[in-house]
Amino acid sequence: MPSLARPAGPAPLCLAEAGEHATGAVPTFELIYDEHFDYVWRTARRLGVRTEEADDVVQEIFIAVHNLLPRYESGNVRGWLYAIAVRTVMHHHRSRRRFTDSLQPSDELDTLPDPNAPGPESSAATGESIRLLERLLDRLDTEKRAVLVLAGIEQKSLAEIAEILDLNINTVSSRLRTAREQIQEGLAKHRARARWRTE
Amino acid sequence: MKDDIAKELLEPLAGEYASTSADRERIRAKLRERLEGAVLVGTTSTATSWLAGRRLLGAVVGLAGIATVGALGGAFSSRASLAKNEQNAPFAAPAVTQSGARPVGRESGGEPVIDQAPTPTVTVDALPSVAAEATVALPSKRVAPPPRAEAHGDDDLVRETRLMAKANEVMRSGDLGGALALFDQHAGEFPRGVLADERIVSRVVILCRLDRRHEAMREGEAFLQTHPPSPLTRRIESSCAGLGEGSEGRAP
Repeated sequence: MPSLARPAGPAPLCLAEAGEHATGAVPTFELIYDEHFDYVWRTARRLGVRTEEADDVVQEIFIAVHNLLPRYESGNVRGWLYAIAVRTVMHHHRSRRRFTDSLQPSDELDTLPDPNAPGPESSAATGESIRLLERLLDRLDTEKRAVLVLAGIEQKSLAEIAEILDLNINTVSSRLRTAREQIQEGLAKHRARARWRTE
Repeated sequence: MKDDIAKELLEPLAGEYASTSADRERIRAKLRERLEGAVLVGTTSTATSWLAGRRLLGAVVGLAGIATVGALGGAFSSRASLAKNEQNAPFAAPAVTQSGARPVGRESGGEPVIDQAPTPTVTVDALPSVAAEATVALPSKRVAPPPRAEAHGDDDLVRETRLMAKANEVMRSGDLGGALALFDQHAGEFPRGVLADERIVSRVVILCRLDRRHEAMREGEAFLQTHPPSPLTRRIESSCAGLGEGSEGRAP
């Protein structure tokens, strides 16, 4: 990996010095890659990047990180990475125009079993539950999905999300509420259909 | 305040999507290839010397001079590559607060913007400090006459990258007509050069800026039809030559 010299300012730190906790320190690209690769990968996947697309999108994210690193200011590395990841994924989705021809409502969800159904196939049920959730999340636009993922998986507060995504806190609150409602509504419909089929 | 409802909703995904070490290494290799490739654009022969030096280092042990050249070249070319890569960045920097940088607008939804932000760039000629250091280690490189085109493959690459670097520099200076002429010169001398794709995309962007929209669309469409999605195709899609709805009237 080419070392990344900064065009101005202090020289990159050596690996031993660089890190999120070093005040005023700018981590090297190599360090960011090594420490946060998994986070970036998971983030891209959680934002709806499919397995077969993950390589390309994660590459794009790290290319952007490489380009923007000279302007990085010390602070929350993961928040900074998340913001880059969200924008990259949004760009990816737009360029593929995937959301315009996403899954039709109900049809595919109907084929999935009730995620709450008990039974010996609990691991399979868990897998189906994940698939159901993924499909519901795919119906959200990336902006809402990004907020929901930060709140639900990373347990960020509204203020933290607003800072990471550079949004007004009211906008964050609104998007989170809408996203939650859409997911809950989708789950409720799915469960209702599952009950109807078994009765 | 944490959102327990959201947490409960997404609980099944909490442990999902872990990457593997194979993922990590595969993408590391791809990034290395891409970033080293980007180094070639906007640099002089030092870039290729650096790449060559890296290869030689694996085979020739103890040649400290080569190692020094490689190290200097690496620093030089990495700086220059930032200019190239910033130009190709698919979006503006998040949370940029440095003066002179374009802030990301609130409520904009992070709309990717290409070729609009006045991002600071580093040109080849704007690297006097490294060049000065390189003078010590590379006196022959700096006084050597321009290599003949047919002499060696590496020399062709050097000439090509120099020409492209010059064209990019002229473009950044605002002399779009001059830049277009240099890209045309590149097309004549290196029709299938390693930077041919970059040349085509830069031409399309310039044609848009010159309001030669029909030419831009024709060349952009030809490129999009023959190239898979990539940062280059995205530059075209974001220019006036972008295909599909909504491209009408869009600034390059």
